[in-house]
Amino acid sequence: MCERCGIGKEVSFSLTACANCGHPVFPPRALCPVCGRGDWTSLEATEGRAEAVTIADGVAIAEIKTDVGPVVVARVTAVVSVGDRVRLSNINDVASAKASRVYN
Amino acid sequence: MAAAESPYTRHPSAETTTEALLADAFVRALANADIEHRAVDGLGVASFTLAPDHVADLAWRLGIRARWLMEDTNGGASALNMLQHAVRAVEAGDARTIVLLAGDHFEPGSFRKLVDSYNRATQQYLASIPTGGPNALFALLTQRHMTEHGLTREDYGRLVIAQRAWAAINSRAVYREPITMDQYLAAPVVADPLHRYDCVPVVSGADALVVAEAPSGVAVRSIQALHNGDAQEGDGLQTALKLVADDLWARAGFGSGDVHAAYVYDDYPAMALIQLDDLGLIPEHDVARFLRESELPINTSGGQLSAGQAGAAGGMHGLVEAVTQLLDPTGPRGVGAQRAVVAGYGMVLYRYGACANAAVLEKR
Repeated sequence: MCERCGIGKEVSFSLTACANCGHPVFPPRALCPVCGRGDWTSLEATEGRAEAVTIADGVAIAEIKTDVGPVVVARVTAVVSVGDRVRLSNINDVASAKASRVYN
Repeated sequence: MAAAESPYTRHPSAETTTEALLADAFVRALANADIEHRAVDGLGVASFTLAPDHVADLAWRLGIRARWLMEDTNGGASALNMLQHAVRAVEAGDARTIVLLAGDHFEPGSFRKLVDSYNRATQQYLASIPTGGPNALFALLTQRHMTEHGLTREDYGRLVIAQRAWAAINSRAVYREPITMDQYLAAPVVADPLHRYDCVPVVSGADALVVAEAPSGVAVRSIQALHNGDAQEGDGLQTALKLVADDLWARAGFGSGDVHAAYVYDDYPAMALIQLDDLGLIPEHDVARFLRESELPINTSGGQLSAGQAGAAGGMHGLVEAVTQLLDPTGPRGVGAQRAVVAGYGMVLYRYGACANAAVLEKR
């Protein structure tokens, strides 16, 4: 995190996919639920759709159905409504989502 | 079987301990079962706050010499999981009289600590958001449940109000004041669309069940369980009960239409409705109509939503109420039940519970 302005280290969000059968999972786990193997590759999951959004204790939280499959629970960092397309990133190890729409 | 509950309270005294609550429930259950302390030869326990003690420590503290021990850590699915194992143990002759205990006493602050470190998935991927516990997760799930079934907040309100009406005649429930629909709708928001009355009151308390061979009492007609049924890759809008319900009823020898009362794990109204549906208790899956028209007694103690959730006892609370009803169908809240179904649900694993089980009980 930047000490001056507090902005977090933001990287693209990725999850893991089974190296054997390709099944993507999040959160990661030891063995693939489909084929039972334990080898994983990294898979970027930067796009998805907000399926539900709520605010709990002042924190906006959404369920994001990623385009690659798994659903991710993310902190919402910019206005997101149900049904929005979102960009998913990892900010200081926290899954974060913001709307993909470009505002004119 | 016999059952008992140590009174729940939202304001436990400073001297309260988890062990004392469990011991109290134990003693009450033995009294209800009219069996002697020395007859107990099996012990099971589910508790978030017993640590660092485990079931063997508890056996020692309760003075039990056990031929069968079990400690269950599956939250709202613990009670039925322990019941499943206890019934088989008694059938096999591994033990003759098993007592199952569940309960918790939360010190201030320890509940938040529990929910944040509930499992690694929570610690690693939810605590830092922060989601602050299961309310946010089930708010998201309830939103999707509302959309899928075309429900309004009023619909959930019907379930909550009905359970509160049962609690009004349960002297042990921590919330007994009847609620009107206006009050339900106007309650402060917790996490949209969940408001205050959609969330359980956390209490200190304990429950106990005695499992033994007996010529009469309550028989367990069937038990079914399925855990991690969808690898947590689904939408949480059905539980694994849906996949085992047919077996549950087939082994019971009668159908979902033949029970007189249902006990579902009501951590949230949406989850109670989902379990009812999964068990086949909602005709044509028409949830809104069921809420308007059904007369099936559900969670006749008021459920966790009104009677309270004493931590890991939450899963045993409905089972204790079911057994109590069956043993005394004309009791204070009696509904004349001869048959009941009880569901368990628990272990919130990332987005929703990973464990689900159910038992069909019949008075013998």
